[in-house]
Amino acid sequence: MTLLNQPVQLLDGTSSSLGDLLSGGVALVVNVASKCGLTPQYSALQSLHEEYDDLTVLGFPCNQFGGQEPGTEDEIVAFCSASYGTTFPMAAKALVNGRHADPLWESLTATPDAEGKAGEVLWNFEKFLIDRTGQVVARFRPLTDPAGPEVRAAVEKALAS
Amino acid sequence: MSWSPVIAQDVAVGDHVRLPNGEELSVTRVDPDHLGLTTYLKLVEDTDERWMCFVMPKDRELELRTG
Repeated sequence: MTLLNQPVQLLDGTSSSLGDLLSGGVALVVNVASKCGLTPQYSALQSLHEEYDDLTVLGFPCNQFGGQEPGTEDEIVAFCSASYGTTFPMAAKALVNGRHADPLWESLTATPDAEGKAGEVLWNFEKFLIDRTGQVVARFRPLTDPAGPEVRAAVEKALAS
Repeated sequence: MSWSPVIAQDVAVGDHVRLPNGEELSVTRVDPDHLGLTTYLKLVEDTDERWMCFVMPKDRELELRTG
């Protein structure tokens, strides 16, 4: 099932689709938060976004994990820009788990991780790699370093396809 | 409505708790560890109203709603 047609509301209030955001490339979709111990992963995510021309990192702020993304859209944008110099697109705040989870995240969480386990996002900074056809090809749990060899290998494999 | 102290590891499904930061949670699930960290647990509220979770050390003191 392709996710390219999934609508994405961006943090600036504009509407897009996953396909338009990918522009024929691949995406690393991440649920993010500003007050998490893993928030420094923003640096590695920005590095990835800059390093690979056809890779788009797409951040989805989410306040469901410990209430660690309590800010407004403006506050989130300001924080990311000032603290980490992020230039990758940010979606509007999302619900990634539960009965009211956003449809995109319902699809993403149906994908198993490397250990074969699908289901709920466990915490901030889970990462889902989506290939050019809109298929989820990899899922990485929160503690996986975005710039580490595991993610890089998967990104490069997806880009080569 | 009254509150009594409870240690996080003693919280059970069905409890309604208040965290030190004032947040309240209707507990529908208790995960015994967090991302492999066994000294932490995760309290989850998964209801029609919301899905929310908080992670804390197992010996964290919370307040349990009673009565």
